[in-house]
Amino acid sequence: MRQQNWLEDLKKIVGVRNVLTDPMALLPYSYDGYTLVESTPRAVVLPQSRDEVAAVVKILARAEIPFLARGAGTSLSGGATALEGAVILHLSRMNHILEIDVENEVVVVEPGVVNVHITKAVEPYGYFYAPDPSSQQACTIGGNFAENSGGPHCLKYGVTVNHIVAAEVVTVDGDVVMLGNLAGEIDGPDWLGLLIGSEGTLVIATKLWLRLTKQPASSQTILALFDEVDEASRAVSAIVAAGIIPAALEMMDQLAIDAVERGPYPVGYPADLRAVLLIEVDGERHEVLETAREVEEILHSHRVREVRLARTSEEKTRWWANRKTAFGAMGLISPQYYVQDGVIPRSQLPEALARIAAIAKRYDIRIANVFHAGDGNLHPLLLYDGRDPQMVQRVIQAGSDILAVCVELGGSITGEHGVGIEKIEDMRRQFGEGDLKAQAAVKTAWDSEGLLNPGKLLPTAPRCHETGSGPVKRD
Amino acid sequence: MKRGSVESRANHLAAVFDQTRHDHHVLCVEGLGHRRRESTRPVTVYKTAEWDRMIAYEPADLTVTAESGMRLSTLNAILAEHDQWIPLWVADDKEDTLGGAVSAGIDGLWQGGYGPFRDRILGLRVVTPGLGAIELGSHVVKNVAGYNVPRIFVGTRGALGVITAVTLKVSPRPPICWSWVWEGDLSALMRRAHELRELAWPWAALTLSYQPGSEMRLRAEWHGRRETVRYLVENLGAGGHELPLWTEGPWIDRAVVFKGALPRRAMGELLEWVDEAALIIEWQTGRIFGSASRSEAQRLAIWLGEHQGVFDVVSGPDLGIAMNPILIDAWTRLKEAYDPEGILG
Amino acid sequence: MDTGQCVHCGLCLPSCPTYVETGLEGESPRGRIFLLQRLHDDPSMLNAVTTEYLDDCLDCRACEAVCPAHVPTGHLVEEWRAETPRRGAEGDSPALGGFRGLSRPLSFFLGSPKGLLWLQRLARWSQWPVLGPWITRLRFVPQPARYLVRGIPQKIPKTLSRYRTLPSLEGSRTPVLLFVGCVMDTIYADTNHHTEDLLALAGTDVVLPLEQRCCGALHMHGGDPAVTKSWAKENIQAFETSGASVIVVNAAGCGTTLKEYAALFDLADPWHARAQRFEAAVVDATVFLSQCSLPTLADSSDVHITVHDPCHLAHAQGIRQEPRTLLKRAGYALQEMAESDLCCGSAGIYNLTHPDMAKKLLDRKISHIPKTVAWVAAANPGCLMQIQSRLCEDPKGPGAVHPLDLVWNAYRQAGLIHPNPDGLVSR
Repeated sequence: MRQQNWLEDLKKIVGVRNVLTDPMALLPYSYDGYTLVESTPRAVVLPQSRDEVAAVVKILARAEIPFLARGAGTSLSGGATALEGAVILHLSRMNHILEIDVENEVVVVEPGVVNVHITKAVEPYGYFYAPDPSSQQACTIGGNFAENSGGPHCLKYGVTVNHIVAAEVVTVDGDVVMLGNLAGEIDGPDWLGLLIGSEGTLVIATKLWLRLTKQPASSQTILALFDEVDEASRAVSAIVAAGIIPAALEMMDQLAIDAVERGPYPVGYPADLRAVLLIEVDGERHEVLETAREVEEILHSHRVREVRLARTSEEKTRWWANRKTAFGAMGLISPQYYVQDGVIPRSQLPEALARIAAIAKRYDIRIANVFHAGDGNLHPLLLYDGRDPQMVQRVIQAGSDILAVCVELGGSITGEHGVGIEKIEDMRRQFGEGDLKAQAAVKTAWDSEGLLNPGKLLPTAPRCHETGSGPVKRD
Repeated sequence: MKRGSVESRANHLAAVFDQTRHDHHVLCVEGLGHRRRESTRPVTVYKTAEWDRMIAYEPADLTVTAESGMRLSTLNAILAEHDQWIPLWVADDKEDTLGGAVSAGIDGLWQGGYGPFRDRILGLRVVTPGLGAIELGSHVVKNVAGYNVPRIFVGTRGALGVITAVTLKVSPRPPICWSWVWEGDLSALMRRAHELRELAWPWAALTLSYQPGSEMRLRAEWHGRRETVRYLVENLGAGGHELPLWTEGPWIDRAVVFKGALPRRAMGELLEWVDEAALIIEWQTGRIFGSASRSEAQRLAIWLGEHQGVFDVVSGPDLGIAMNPILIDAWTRLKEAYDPEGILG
Repeated sequence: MDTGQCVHCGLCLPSCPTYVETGLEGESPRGRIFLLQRLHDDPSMLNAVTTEYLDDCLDCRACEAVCPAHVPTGHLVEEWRAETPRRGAEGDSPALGGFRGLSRPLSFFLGSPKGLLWLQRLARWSQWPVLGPWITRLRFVPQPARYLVRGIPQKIPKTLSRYRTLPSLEGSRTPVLLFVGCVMDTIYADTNHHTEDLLALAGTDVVLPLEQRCCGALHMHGGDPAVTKSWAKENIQAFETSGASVIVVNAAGCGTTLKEYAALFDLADPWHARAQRFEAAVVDATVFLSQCSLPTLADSSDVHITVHDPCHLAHAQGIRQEPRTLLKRAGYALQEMAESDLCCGSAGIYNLTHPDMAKKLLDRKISHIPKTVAWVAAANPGCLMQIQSRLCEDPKGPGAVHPLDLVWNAYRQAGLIHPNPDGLVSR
């Protein structure tokens, strides 16, 4: 009978207006950035404090109703889509920067704070928040916590797990636990390190302590324009082999360049360009000067057509804005796109790109490549038209083949977008039965009933959710 | 690693588990044995020093996989051929095996320049009593597939499984390492440390160290390009290659060797407060390392607790630090899967 | 309706004032696009919640400016609003109904010089102690306007800005047409005169065709494009007979509408090509003047200014730097405010039709104004009125003004502009 009252109980906690049940209010929540599966939540709740989150979780756990937290819904693997009739806790209103603790080099935030707003807030003090996913203008820090988000600059600075020193989390029973500390050192088992990147399947973070990074004294952004993809990827390996770890080392191929040049931030790349490398070196100014010089030399020894150095911060910002809107800009050259996210050992870059090109040919689809070349994190963008169901099937198959290539070359099925709904079956490619059991034990340790964000990450979890048969039609 | 050797390690360990269970002992896996914590239960010690094979090394990928008993110095000698290394320098100058460094949660002084050692751990191969041989993490520098289970093996001293192989991210070896040292009054050294951070950043290590009866010592170490070192020499004086960390010779002769961390705000305060312990603080990260008598260590643990810091015993008695009951529940459930009979303590 | 380019990336969310305020996916551009798609497939899904979400769109275009795939959310919502009357009243939100009630009086007041004179008179009378409250209670004056009216300038000229005889300058120069607008022509007539003076200082001849009309933006946003279309034709004709090659506009909202005139006409319609020529000639006054060689004045760094970026300037036209350039050149010190390009809630007549949301956004805007500034510069009459309606509560605090008023004042104090005493300027 409890089942009947949970909605009323939720309304008592957060107020009537903050519990959505109207089907048209729920409809926009049936997707995140991953559009191949559509599933409408049973309800959406908008809590505004840790205590509200804990109280809401308690009510739902008692009623045995699954639930998950959602931020800006920019997940590319379906992490923020509700399966199995789960209730969404939309944390968009828990979006306050609580404290900028300059002395301890820590900023304290609520989970709904937008990633880029953190850097904007600490800039005047000479700091920045290092992980910068391409969606940073929208994605929230709670989502970054859940997905262990990366970004172009994680090549040098590391991913989210390297930058969260402490977190206040709500467990599946509605208990509040504080993990980590201001010192940012592990204290007993590194639960925090385990929970970051657990894709919202173990806890809900309600407050985060983030490490601030001193702004580098100097930086240089370099564009290298290539006539051959192969030479560009060889240049990437040569830079790393020379002992240089740039702050970022990004690559785009011709199709991707075509799309971003039509987007809001065109750079003015020549139309016949085959590949571009966007390289940033930063640090102490002498180091930067020497390193940039060395990078230039390496580029010139790899048949680069042209090397451009950013002269102003506006130019640098524009080059980055151009790169960071690449996914969305696919809308300008294709009705839909499906972004893959796989990792290969960097030395296999030319091999991997050749195999991806072969896959594109085999399935007769167009694939654009935009990726973090420095750490071998590929983002093939598979272009398709959702009105053509056969093409959709070919795209799904091609995506799966690309992951097989990544695993075969000794890599990983996801470098930063997470497993989510998308790669749940692909987990078996990378891990054996025993390895998966070891991971399932982690789930059991924190959420034995499987209420938190069901249907994600682990293939062993029961699958009885209602999913769409394919991508939603768009006219 | 050749398939055969994986299975032989796993089979061998299964027999060791059986024997330990039969003896009602707790299995204690040891690398070189100097990060040992005292135990109240009878212990079967198992030495991994022979597990020292290189499994995979691809310099262009900046990754290496080796067996867990390999010494860091052995590994670094191999990596040096490609101008690469694992920059881990522990303040007591003692050596570690790869598995030992992971299990004991060891970290070094170069965190300021290279980040924590645990961030290098990409993958582990582990043999557990409950799930047999398992593979955790991956072999590439970036991976978010599944739970980051290797993290839970860092510093938990093999309580969930025996680490047989470790995959690490390696770093390029810098063209030059250079150091400077100052001694004297604490407040003057703190000012100097602050100035050093303004002058250049990040330092490989910026340490303030204290030994009872000696003067406070500030040491700055830069890893990078010759041009930078030339500039620093102009500003700071000649300096030298590998100037000593401590004023006086061997200092770790006390009961407890500890590590930990504290918020940056409390760093100066700790150096003013410390009396009978040998202590070193990395000024960019707030990481500490040191040695003290048992009672002094206890006092230090309490002080750090009060200042939002962390205290952890590297070797010596278990000082029994309490865990949150919710976390104990999670730990117990995890233990049930990995080591249901408690063979690993 | 083509919403096909939306790939659901979500990058638009934090740029959307209604999402920022409510935190609801349905109140975000991505949510609205999704709802529009579904309504297109199945119009019977329309209910009160959907109408509210769609109708809350401010049409501020912030999402369009950041969208990697250029999804025209604002236009799509506008299109949907235009279709709504045909669906009948059951889908109407109170806000849309509110606009329909206003549409006829607006057409009268804004549609001809006679109407505009009445609007100016009423605005002036509304400031009289006894008459004021009575005026703001007239049947066609929406209730929230009683509050908004506090935001208009204290001295409103007695005649339209277009009735000014401009001295002819020596030499033959290409004339520029100043688009005088409606609210600008009446309530902010002084700003129009200041713009003319600055244009003259910059060495151009200004023409003011009496036949020009209101741009029709308000009707367009409210879903009544027929009115906009007929006024557009009059404006195009006025331009074609004026002999000017450039149309200078000092109101961001008008500028955006004028720049989108061609879309009002079918490709086959001969008016389409004429509108295209018209569009191409439109330039914002701050852009035009920043490209002229106005003299650089010494810093008067004691006067601090903060700039509010009107949506239809920053997002719709991509103009951000030019007002700042002009202010700096005129010697002012700038102090930026947070979220300077987030909508203030004015949004045409949104503040009349959606008073609650408009108030929340205004609260947010006001909270970001730095304490030390003397003025908040905003190059759009709607924003000026909206922001000033709150700022007037603190007589010692900053006021909201058009950046060109500030620039004009600096040049006048520097002795470079001499207000023409013979002109029909009522000061």
